[in-house]
Amino acid sequence: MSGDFIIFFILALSLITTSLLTVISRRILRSAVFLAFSLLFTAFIYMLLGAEILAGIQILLYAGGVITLIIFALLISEKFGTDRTESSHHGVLPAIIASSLLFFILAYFTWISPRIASLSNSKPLKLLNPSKTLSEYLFKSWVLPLEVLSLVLLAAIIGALILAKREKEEG
Amino acid sequence: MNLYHLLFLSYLIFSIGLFGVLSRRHLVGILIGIELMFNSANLAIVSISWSMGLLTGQVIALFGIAITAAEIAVGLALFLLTERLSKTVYADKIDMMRG
Repeated sequence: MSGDFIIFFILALSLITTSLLTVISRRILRSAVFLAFSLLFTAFIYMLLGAEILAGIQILLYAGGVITLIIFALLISEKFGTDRTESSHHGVLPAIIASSLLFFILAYFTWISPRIASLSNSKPLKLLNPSKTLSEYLFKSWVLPLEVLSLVLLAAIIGALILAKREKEEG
Repeated sequence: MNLYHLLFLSYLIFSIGLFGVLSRRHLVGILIGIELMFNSANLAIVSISWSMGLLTGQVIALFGIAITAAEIAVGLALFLLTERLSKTVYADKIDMMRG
């Protein structure tokens, strides 16, 4: 057992624990905070896979931006803090059955797939300068999807603004 | 660590997220479950491209993260709008379409 695997094992265990706490926590604000930790551990796993830029963006955008947005929306919602008496989950048993069924189906088809077995046996080759290659990829061969993505982000900003705008006469 | 460990970890996180989506009553709780599922999909893409020695998976994961950010912005705006219109934050109490 190498040191790499021990680090991966610890990270995977923390990731599973925080994800479970995210979905079973009764209070929604705690759930959002656990989600932040879960995204942070995923970023550490990305670092283990040699994707440092992706890990940085994950921390900046996900654990920083998205979590802040969720907590902010929760805090400005009118019903915030009134959820203590109500039950937080419903239909737990069918949900457990459905999600574990999905897990076993995915795991079975991965286990019998010969392509993934051959990929798993081969040693992954180290790239020479992954950050430089990634930026070259991003701004040479993927530049059109990148520009389309900026349009999508603009549309999302405008859509969110229009949806959340308060009507004057309602005031 | 090999590809199997990474893929099974990502499947597990995806199932946990699906459980959250199916069983949560709070609207933001459902969104948080969707976030977990997006995250595990990114993890699977990155680990497969890692085992092939490619960088394409990282580019796709970057695009996925950006789209998730847009999705969560629109989703939270919808949450605030729904809460204002139907005076509840629970998904099973919204009955605007019931005549």
